[in-house]
Amino acid sequence: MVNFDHVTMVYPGSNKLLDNKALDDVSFRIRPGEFVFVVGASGSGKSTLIKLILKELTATEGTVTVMNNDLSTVRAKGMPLIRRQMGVVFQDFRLLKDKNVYENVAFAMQIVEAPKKEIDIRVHELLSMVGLGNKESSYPDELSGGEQQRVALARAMANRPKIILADEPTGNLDVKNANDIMRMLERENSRGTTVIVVTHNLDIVRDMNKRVITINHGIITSDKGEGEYEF
Amino acid sequence: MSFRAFRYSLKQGFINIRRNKIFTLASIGTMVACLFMLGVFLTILINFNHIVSSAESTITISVYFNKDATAEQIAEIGKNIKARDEVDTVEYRTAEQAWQMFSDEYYSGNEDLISSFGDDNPLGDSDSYLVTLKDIDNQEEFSAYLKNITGVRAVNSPEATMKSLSRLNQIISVTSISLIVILFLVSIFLISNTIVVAISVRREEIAIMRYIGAGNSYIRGPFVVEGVTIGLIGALIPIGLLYGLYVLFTKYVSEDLSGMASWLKLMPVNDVFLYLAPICIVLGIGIGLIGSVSTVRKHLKL
Ligand SMILES: Nc1ncnc2c1ncn2[C@@H]1O[C@H](COP(=O)(O)OP(=O)(O)OP(=O)(O)O)[C@@H](O)[C@H]1O
Ligand SMILES: [Mg+2]
Repeated sequence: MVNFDHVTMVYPGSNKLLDNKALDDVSFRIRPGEFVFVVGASGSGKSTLIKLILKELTATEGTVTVMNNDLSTVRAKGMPLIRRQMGVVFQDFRLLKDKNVYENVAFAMQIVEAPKKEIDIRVHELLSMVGLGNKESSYPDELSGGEQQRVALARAMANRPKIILADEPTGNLDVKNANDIMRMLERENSRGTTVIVVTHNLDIVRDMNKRVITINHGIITSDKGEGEYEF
Repeated sequence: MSFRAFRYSLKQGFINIRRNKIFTLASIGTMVACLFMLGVFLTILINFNHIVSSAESTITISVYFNKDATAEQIAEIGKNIKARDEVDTVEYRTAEQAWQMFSDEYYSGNEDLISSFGDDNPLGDSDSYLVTLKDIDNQEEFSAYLKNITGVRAVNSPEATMKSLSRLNQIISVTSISLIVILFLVSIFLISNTIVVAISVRREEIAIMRYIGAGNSYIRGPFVVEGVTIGLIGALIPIGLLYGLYVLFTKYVSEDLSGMASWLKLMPVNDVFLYLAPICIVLGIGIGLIGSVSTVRKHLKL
């Protein structure tokens, strides 16, 4: 589903003499339907990894393959089609501020030209699933962090993506909201969606008991299967 | 672009315009000024051409014959003139007709003056051909040709006037074309700036739209709508202004100047705007389109 093959990422402008690579010869393979945590200290290269999967960045060396597409060969015009099969959730929610809850989720389906009726049914279903059935017409500014992240998650799931990428989705949430979000991701995963979660929160990693990839200074230092990770 | 993407772009484009009021107004203002000046020039040009061409059609070259020219010679000369490509019409006129026309034109109401000439026809006792040309630019050459025909005594043509008229026409055309080009560039630059500001205001929103897989029509469409709308409004306002001013001006000319400037025959307002309105609208939309599409291409790469 997502393969990194000897991927190195050097940010343009960074000092090569100091060998300041965000990712250094990283290789791993994530199969369809897997649930994977990516952990590591701040600045270790976790967000860089997510950006490479989204082709927001292009690898300096090596190959990133997503759903059998070698991203270095995918043209800019083809990227929206691939992104529509990936749902993304960020620490800072990133909702459209001038659209209400309903419109934020519906918009993701509108841009893929889904029929209006289908959008209506799906958005109601998603919002009641994340527990926001009563907040459809609220605007992001009127919601708590936990609520905003639920909207973001609903939006990420709207087009029934094959992969969900979450970069610190619980970073701004309290324990209860964090656990709720993780339950929802787990439920989506149990339907067959591949889920990749970047997190600092080792309590969550421990509770969930999934595969864990550890990055340190741009290098993968461990990759443990379910139940193998030691705290 | 799907209908929905189009509708979204329209709506979002208008939201952009409302959010970006100051820059939008500045670009509209500049476009109005630009197209207004252009419109004034075009109006002058259109009317000038109108006056020149109506003058052209009345401008005639008179060809006089030697006193001893025979009827056959005269007929031969007429045939030769008619055969020339640049000639529009040829008309034979007797000396009496010429005199009649001359006195009608210059001395009507002053019959005493005419009688003072008596039988002494000042144009000479000569028949002539009256020749009109298709294009006055050929006049000089053509007169030279006529003078060399045997049997032709004199050629009478208002050369100097016509030459300076067509020269003036050229100057106006060149000036207005250079002006158009400069204004074009200024307007494109301004619209481009407005779009850059609109994009930077929405940078975060655009990033989000990219994450959820929005294509070009959703991301770029609103800005193109914004540019085209500015262009269209920037064209409609000067058209309206020019229309009003033109109506007032023609009224002034026909009422207050009718005696002083009988040569100033302005084209009817609707005839002028039949050209002017489409030109302004196409230019306005074109400027908006070029300004926004080029900017969006540069700043909104997928
Ligand atoms: N746009 C950029 N330009 C230059 N260097 C960058 C850029 N983004 C990140 N980096 C550098 O790349 C390295 C990895 O950054 P990255 O954002 O991937 O870390 P991270 O693991 O997500 O950290 P955090 O846990 O704090 O979010 C860091 O050293 C960072 O300074
Ligand atoms: Mg990060």
